[in-house]
Amino acid sequence: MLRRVIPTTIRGQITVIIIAALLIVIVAGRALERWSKSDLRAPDIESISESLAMIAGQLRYASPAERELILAYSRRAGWNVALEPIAISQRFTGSSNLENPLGRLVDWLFPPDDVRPPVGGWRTFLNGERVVAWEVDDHTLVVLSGFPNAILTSSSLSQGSYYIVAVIVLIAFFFVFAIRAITEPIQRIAEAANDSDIANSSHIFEERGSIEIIALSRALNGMRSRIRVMVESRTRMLRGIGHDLRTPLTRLRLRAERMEEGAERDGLLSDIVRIDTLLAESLHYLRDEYAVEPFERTDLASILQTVCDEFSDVGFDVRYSGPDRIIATCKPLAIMRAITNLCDNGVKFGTSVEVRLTRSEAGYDIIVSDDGPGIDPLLQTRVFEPFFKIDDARQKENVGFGLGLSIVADIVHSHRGTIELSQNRPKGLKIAIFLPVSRLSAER
Amino acid sequence: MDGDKIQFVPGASRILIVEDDPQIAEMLCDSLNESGMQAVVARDGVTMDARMRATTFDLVILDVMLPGESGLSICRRLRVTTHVPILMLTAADGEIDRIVGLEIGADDYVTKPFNLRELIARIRGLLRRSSMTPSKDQRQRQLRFDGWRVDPIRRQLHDPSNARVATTTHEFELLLAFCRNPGRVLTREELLGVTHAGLAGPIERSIDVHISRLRQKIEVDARDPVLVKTVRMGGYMFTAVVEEV
Repeated sequence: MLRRVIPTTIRGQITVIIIAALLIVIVAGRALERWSKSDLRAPDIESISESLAMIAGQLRYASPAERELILAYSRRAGWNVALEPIAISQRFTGSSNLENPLGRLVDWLFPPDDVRPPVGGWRTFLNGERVVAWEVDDHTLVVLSGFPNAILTSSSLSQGSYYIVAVIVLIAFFFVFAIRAITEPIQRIAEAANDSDIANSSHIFEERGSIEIIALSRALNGMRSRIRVMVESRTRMLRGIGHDLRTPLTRLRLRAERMEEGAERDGLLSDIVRIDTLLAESLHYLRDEYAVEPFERTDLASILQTVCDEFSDVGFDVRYSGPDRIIATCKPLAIMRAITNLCDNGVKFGTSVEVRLTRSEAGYDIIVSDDGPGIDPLLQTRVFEPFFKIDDARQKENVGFGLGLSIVADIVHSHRGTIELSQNRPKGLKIAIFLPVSRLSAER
Repeated sequence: MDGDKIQFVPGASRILIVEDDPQIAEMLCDSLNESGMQAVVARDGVTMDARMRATTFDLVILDVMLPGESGLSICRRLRVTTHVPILMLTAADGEIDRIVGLEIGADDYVTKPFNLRELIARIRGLLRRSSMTPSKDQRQRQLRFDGWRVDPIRRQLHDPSNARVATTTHEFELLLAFCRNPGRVLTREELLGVTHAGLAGPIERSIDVHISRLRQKIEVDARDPVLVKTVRMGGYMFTAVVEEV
């Protein structure tokens, strides 16, 4: 019901808010004014001055004894009045350094009503204290003191009510409006964009909210599906090429295997294996099946342990150190692939690899270090780019497409983790992966 | 190898190769024949059906990418009517394809371009297993012991808190062998046969190494094993109660 009343465009919503705010200001401001004047009976300087004028009038025709009596009664009623010689008006000042600037501003904004001002004007100070004075006769003044410096004028009470209500209402309305109509949806879209996976299901931007926000979500969804179609068609094409290459490669391999043993056969076979490795590597990268793998509660330690064992079973010095069991929520196959790629690199360039796992408050630290030549610090950010290869003669034997580390980086990022390369002491490469725990459990 | 009348040598395993590439099929056929099996080629599902009506085969090698009916569909169909072991050949590798293949009833899976020796080793393994184990259905069923869950198809192991625990191929094969033979003493030789269904790597770990790693993963205290007990003079025995799910 309420939804039907609220306009669907931000423009319309702002208009409604302004109109609603004005109505509330008029009604509530009037009510507040009435309340402050009649119910609260907040004193304003005009009424005080008027009362004092009345007292002054009575004093004028009273005898000295009666004057004393009137003054005494007035003091008993809470009026701090005194009779002063008229010469004291020479010492009246228009301002006081004790007065705060806010009071001065309020007085300036809300000048007193158009009634007869007291002696010295509405803003009169004696010895720094605000006073109101009226002439009793030619020699005498009655001076009222002892009220707050920032006494309000009656217009500040009536107009001020409107101002206060208007400010509060507008701030409150726009605050709520900004959060509900602009901030929240934009935050939602930002979050969705952060979490988005091009390969993932279709509509990730929620099409909800004002028309402008819906249009934005729709545009982003459209852009996303266009990107996906493009990526998919390219991937399909490359995978098709990969598949089609495998049939002749199988033929080649069978033929080579059926040849007589010898150097030629071995050379052929090793070339075939190399082509096969390259194909497998690029298909792995294109398949990107780690992006869609679901998060699962997994014994992270067993994954690292298993990868290390698989390597050491085929004769490499790859060791795991860390706890026997650490349960984490992650993508198990993806993590296994990432650590395998890192160990693969490690044994390619070095002789021994160490995989270390530690658990901290914020998450899990996996450190893979080797004793190879390491990577030039200048190139350390570039190695995560797909198809980036360090141009080095050493690599000739283990030629690959240079996708290994970019797959690792993709996997780590899909866990909202971070990956850093650094120099291992005394030599080699150290890769530190951090997987945050909060994010991992939030995915479930 | 054409023609419907094929003379089979008695005693030799009969293998049907369903593969559309004639050269691959022929070379594969020759290689299998040279290693003492009897292989016949069918280039698509229709030919395969004709061949299977004429003869009973001990194993079918099935290419996934076939003209006409796909390999996966043929596999599903075969599984309904026969118990013949099926080895899938495919150009695609990856966990998901493997699982799909195994779930619809393939017994094993080899990626092209395959290593001929490995392929033959796998065929032998399948032939041996199919003569040993009663039914395929049982081999694919999930197993439970002591709160742990073993999924033979996905090759996954879950601990009692339902967290996934990774294992090496050898560890998983050992665990499967244990789960299928609870309470029985398995000798090192028997266990070796299980873990070396494929090719042995350059370093041959002793069974004891794999067992100790497996213990580290599934035992509460690996130094005081409860599930996998060492039997003096014999080998190992799995003490847990295993149920099929």
